[in-house]
Amino acid sequence: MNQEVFNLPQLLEDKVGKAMQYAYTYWARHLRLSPTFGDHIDQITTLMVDILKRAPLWIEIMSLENNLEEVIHSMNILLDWLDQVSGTLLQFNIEGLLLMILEIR
Amino acid sequence: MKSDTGMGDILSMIKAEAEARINIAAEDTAEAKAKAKTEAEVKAKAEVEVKAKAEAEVRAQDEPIVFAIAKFQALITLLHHLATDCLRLSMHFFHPIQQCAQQVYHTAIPLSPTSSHLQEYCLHSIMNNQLSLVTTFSGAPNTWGLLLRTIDIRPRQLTSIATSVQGIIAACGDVVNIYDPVTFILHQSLSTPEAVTKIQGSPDGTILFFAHSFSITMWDVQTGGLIHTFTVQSEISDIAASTTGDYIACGSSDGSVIFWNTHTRQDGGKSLGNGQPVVTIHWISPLGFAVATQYSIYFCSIASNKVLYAVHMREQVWGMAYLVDKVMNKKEILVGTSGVKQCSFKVSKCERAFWSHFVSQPLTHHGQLSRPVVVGEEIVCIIQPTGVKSFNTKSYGLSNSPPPLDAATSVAVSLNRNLVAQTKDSIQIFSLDVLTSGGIRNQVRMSHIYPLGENHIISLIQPTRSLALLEMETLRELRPKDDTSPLKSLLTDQSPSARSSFGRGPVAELGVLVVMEAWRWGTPLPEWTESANEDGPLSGLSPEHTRIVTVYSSPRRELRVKDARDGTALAKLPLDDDLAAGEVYALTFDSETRFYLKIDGPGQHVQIPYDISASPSGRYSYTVTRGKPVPLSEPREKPPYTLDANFEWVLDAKSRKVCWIPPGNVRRGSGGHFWVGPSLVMVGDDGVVRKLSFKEPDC
Repeated sequence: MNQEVFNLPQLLEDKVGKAMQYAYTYWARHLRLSPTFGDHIDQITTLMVDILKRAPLWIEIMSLENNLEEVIHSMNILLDWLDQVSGTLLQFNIEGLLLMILEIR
Repeated sequence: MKSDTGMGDILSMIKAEAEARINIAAEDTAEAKAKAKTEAEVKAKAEVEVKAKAEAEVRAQDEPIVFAIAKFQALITLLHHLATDCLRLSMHFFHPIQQCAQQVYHTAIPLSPTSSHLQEYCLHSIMNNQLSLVTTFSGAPNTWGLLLRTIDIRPRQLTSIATSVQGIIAACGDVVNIYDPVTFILHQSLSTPEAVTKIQGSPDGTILFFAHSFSITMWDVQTGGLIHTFTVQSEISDIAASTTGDYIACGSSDGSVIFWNTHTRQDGGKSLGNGQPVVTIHWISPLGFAVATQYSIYFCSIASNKVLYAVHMREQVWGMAYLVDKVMNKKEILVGTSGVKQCSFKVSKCERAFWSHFVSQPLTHHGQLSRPVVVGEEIVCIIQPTGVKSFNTKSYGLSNSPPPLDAATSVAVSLNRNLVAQTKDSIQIFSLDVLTSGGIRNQVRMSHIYPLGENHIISLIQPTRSLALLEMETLRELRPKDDTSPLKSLLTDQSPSARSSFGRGPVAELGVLVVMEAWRWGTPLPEWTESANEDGPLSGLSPEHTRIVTVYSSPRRELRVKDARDGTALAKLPLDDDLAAGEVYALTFDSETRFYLKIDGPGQHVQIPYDISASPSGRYSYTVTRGKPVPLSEPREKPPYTLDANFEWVLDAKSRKVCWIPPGNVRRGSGGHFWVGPSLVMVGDDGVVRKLSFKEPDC
């Protein structure tokens, strides 16, 4: 049980660190502010997939931080962001196809 | 672009940290060996990744743009799946993970649906690192399903729920909880001076109104402070806040309706005069409301303080819903009446209470109607006792397939379009798709399960009340081809210990002989069951199958001996007071006339012999006499794992919570679950049998 862990806040600060604690909690809010098009999308998506494959670890930390609701918020933000990316991608896709048709002609 | 760089940094930091921390997570439970293995795995993985990346770069140069897009789209889809899984997992398993962070490994990942991508990636490493005591979970659902979250409020009971801008508001006695509309997490709790019967929120979400028996309290949501108390003379039936939030109206059991200005707190009242208790109130315009009493609907204006229009019904009114269709410029009231039909009234110009026409639509449905909610074109309401019904607002017909919300007593729709259902002691939050999912339900449902030997499960199928035999290993149903099938012999050939192992609950009441007589597929079980005041009293069957002895603990602790064939009572014997503190955990027969009880209690662990002898003169045809207790030297054998009293947590021998069972997976009461060594076999409220296996405990 989380509350049975002796001196949990100190332990978290020692093991995780302030910077990581901030990153774990607020990464999604930063993501929301980042553009949904451009070259970096590919990198971010690959990174996100890698991170989410290890999501239990993040969820564990968020629970220890007593901030589990942030997982729900973050995932909602990520899903919204992904919807926007997909929207842009669809547009890009159509433009690309049109370009190809022109080239073939 | 600044935020973009920041994002990249943070993400790489998280990734690096996550990789480094895999070992930290493993430290708690895994051995150094496992740790080294993980390190090697990570290293190998990294190498493969680097290689793949280099290859991909070479390939990317000649790759046409279309393929690159398709690849990227696949990546986006995978991320979408992972994020959805992560979201559903954190909502579904919020309760255990919040209490104990390690439950994400112990419970959440192993008990996730089989289609979960997150489980696909994590389960292997969790099992390898021995982060969970669960070894297998058979019968796991395929998908996350439509139930997003269950908020358990036991031991309290829910009295009313409502939804508002602030979230989900639930009253349980004199405590009102407000849950976040997105995360469904409790973020405010208000203690009220009296029990709350109804809740209403102002449209802007800043004020809450609670109805008590003889008063209405007005609360500031922001501060959680009580603003004002309005008192009334007679018992309140329903309250309603006006569409602008300027007025609150209250209907009472004596038929009076009072409304107050929430700013000036002045009241204006209008007695409807016929003395019929008010059933429900709805505001239909800023200054007008409709009141449903037992046999009438009144339309009142607070501007003139008059009843503008009244409709009298022949049948008792149970509920009323107000529908506004802005596109069609249509305003309607649906009135639910008991008896032979539901009536619907169409109102075209409600402001002036001018009923251009009304239509009475007979529907073949009976029962009590809860406060209906409008979801798109559907009106959803609970009709007791038959469950949730939804009506189409265009055709007024009943939707064909009722959604699987059997336990709900009322429903509401939250702001972010989820269906909130109130049950006796929990709030269930569903995706709205639940309203159209009726057909998905499986028709064959198991209701009771008992072990038969070590390899089989005997289970009772509803609603036919016939028996089924399942394989313990696969949970697959064995179907006999004809009467000479090995199934019958399986039952007859079982060793006495196997027979007594399904000696609890209704099957025991029937007796093995009777069960075997009924062992024809599709044949309903014969009824000589006796209802007990407790779940699964301990029973035993004599070797010749003539007598059943049952140990009851309520209304008083006693032994009852019955004839196994017809259920006639043969003898009764109260259990002695000196045994009252102990637990009777085993009943074994030696012969037709002698049986033993094993009792484990404070300071004693004994076996007591009992003899059954004929008594021609007594009240019963036999008497039971108690012999001398024999102390048992060996300690009582206990299963390595148990379920707690709430059927919520699996506990180990040291009473530590090792795994959380999601609600609805274990049916409460006798025959709902049993242990086979370290495996828990359970039947859920949905009629599905599941098996959860744990590691063998270390000795």
